[in-house]
Amino acid sequence: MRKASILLVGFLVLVLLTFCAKKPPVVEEKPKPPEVTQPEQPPEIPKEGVEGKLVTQKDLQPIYFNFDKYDLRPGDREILNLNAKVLKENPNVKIRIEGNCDERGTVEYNLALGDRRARAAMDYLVNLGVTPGRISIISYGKERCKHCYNEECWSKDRRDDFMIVSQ
Amino acid sequence: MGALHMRSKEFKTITSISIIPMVFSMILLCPGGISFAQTEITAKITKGAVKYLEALEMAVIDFSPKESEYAPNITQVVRDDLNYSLYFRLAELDSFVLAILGNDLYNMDGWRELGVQYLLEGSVKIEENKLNAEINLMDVLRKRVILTKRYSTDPKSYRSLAHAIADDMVLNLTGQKGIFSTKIAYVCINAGHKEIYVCDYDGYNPYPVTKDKSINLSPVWSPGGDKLVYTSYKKGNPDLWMTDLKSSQVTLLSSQAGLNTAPAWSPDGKFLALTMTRDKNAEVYLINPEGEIIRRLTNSWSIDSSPTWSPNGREMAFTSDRSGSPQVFVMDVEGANVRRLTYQGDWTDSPCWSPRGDRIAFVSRQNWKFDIYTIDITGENLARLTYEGSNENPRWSPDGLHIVFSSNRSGRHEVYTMNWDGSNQKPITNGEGDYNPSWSPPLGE
Repeated sequence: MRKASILLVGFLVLVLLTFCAKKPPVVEEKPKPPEVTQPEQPPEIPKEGVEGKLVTQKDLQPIYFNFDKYDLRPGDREILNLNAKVLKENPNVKIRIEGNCDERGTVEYNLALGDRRARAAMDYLVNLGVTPGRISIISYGKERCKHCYNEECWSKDRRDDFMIVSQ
Repeated sequence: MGALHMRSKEFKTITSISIIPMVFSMILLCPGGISFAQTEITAKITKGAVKYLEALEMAVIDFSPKESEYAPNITQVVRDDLNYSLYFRLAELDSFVLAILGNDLYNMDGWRELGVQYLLEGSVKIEENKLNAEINLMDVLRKRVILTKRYSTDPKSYRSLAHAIADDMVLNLTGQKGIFSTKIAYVCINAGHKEIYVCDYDGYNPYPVTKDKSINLSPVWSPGGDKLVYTSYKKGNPDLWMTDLKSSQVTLLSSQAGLNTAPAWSPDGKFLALTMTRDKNAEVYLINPEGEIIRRLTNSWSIDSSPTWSPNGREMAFTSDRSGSPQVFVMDVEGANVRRLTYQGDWTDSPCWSPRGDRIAFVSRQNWKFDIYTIDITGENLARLTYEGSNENPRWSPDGLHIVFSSNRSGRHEVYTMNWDGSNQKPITNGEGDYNPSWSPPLGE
């Protein structure tokens, strides 16, 4: 009986110590960055970027398209995945997706094709959880393309750019 | 048409000059293909018996006085206009002709012997800072003057005066409106920006309509020729704008989210067809000149764009990739009765319905470059018009006898004109790059 009482008191003291003891001062930790393996988990969001600075244009890479196409290729989907990650980590960032074409089509149809390319990227990002209201789109058709003589040059013009509008 | 086509090539020096480089480039590109290609154009056009007119034989005597600062210039512009026109064949006043006339330019029997039907003479005078001209048009067979007319203008507008004279030749001898006072609107690349410019039908007197330092595209003329509608990115989105050329007032017509592009006025001026992506896909819509949406015309998952009206206002041709790649289709103004018109190339676009109603011009891409074709509205009698460079945006003149287009055959895109059958192709611009042209209606002076 006495042993039990001592144990009980000891247990209670332990409980009291645990809950009432002053916590030692802790250096404020930066919240853990979201784990790559669980992208769907909404991470604890800091006001600034992951590394503590604003998102720069370099953090959002362009994607490219095959000739006459607006389909997203597997490698470009990877880039979109990364862009989505940056956008979800920085919810104040608003972007404009700019769709472009190379010079080898007509002026007017290329405006529509560039529009398709921008929308394809936007739909993909929205499906990954980026709020639609943060994304606007614009097509420049072939109006900003270069005058090219080879596929290496033309391929660079078939592109969506992800321009930061505000953050 | 066969007769006119052959006679045009034999007699018109301008035509033969442009045919020669065409023929040489065909020799270089496909030995053994030259005569086939030439025959191809002729045969395909004559098959449908597309014959527009017989040329009238005419001669223009040098305007007097020869010493005048303006008379030789006006004579030259009148001759250039009438040579350009398919309504006339101009006799050159060379030694052969002068010999037949016995050096008497008013020898009507001599002119009749030469086959000339009409003779034009004129005189100019500067009076009180005005350039005044008087012309007499003579019927050679009847040996009498059938038209006398006076013109007056500011001396620096002597070209407009000459164009008015040439227009009166067309009107009085054919009953048709001439095109010599018409204008071409186009996109001009200037210091990295794309602005709308307007020039005379022959490329003279270009001036800017926009100065937005932005991207401006697809200028189209209102049926009255007093307004230009175009797409501009100046507010950060491809919106549809209208400039009143008389008042210079600029109005925002349509700023739906996404594209507001490829505008086309209905022939009666009551509607504009255009392409918009407000419903998340490129479709053709009808709006009124206040910018209100009347209805959506196309209803397909495909890209639908580039509408062009038939001259009777009841149908439209447009571009759609609903068959897998862009091709030209036709529908009525309700958006019903869609039928496919073209079956060629891997990218066919930019349809433009002739004001004559019978043919549609368009571009089709083969081997990475575009060429201009025309086809009957029934889909028959395909004719290829260009072979050099990449050629885009064909737009008919208001009389349906000429086409303005852009070509990069010189190394960069410039604006060219040609006859309806592909003859007489020549540039009318020469800058850093000019394209996307459209031809005004006849403009009241």
